Amino acid sequence: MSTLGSDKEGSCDARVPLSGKQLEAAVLALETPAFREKLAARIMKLARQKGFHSPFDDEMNLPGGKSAGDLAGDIVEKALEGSYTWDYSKQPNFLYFCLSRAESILSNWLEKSERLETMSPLFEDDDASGEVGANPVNTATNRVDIYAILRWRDGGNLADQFLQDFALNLPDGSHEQLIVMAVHDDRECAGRKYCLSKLKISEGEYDAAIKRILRRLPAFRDEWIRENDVTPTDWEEAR
Amino acid sequence: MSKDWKSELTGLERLAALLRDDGLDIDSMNEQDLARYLKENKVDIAKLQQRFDDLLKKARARLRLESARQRRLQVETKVEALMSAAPATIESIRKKVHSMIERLRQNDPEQAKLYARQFEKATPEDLALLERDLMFLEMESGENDKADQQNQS
Repeated sequence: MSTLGSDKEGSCDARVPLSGKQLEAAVLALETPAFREKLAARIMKLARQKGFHSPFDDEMNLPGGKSAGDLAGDIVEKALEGSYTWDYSKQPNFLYFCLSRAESILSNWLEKSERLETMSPLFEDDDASGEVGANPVNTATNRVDIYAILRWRDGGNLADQFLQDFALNLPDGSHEQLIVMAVHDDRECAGRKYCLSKLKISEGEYDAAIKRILRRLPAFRDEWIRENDVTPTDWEEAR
Repeated sequence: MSKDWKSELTGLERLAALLRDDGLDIDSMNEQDLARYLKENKVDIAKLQQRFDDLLKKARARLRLESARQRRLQVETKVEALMSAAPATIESIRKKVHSMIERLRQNDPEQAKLYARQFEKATPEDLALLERDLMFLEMESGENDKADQQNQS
């Protein structure tokens, strides 16, 4: 999707607000019923697919404490003011163009987060705010967020350990254990459809198992943190 | 989605993604369903609506400005073409300007009064400028009427 548009931030090109056909197409899209809701919901789904929604929290916070709605608004605003290059001939649909930017921003956030091992701050443009600053991950993620600690510590090894321990802690042969094991072993197993076909269990059984996993996770997390002595200082170490 | 992002997720991230995959098809939802869905997922709908309303308002204003500028350019081009196509005598310009002021009087008597005052004192050079101004005014008002009709339909 990166070919559909690109960021102008940080480059020498001056930002030129959308005009002509592009502005007309954007206005038309914005006037379409449910455009904003659809964009926000699609961004929410995309962020979840990329693992941004912590398994321990009900609410999804994107880096910087943003919601999917905030990100949708940021993208449209920046598109209108010309912060992105919109290749209208390749993608005349404004919704899809905005989604391609969301995909790019979320991927960049993930990539930046993976660079946590760096000892010096990296100065670069922030896709969301358009401001130049130190590696945004330093400020964008809650330091005591256990999900963040698990994700980034030792390049994700701590998270793998957690997942393994969690699977072993579940009742042997249960659907929830099968699901967690499948996730652990199979890199493709990150979606309902795939997981259902892989495990060959009914939707009802699957949904019930997912609910049990969600109920069990917080208590297991607390116990696991105690046993493994994982503290917020691990976050500092990971940085 | 050029990269296979799934393979880059850690196991825990895959579990996070799996736990939140509700299997719902966003594209098949209507406005109310989507609003309910977002609300259930703790997205502040009122804030979202307000922000998008503001963005749309600004974008519409910019579009209107752009089309007004476009119309103005078209009118200017037409006026220039008319002026250069038919060089006229001072007397014919005088008559033409006078009748244009009369037409203007029907729609905008105050403005017509101002032009009439200028007309009385006008030198031959002033007359040519006055004719140009009035032609521009007539055409622009015609274009604006057309645009208003298009907007209404």
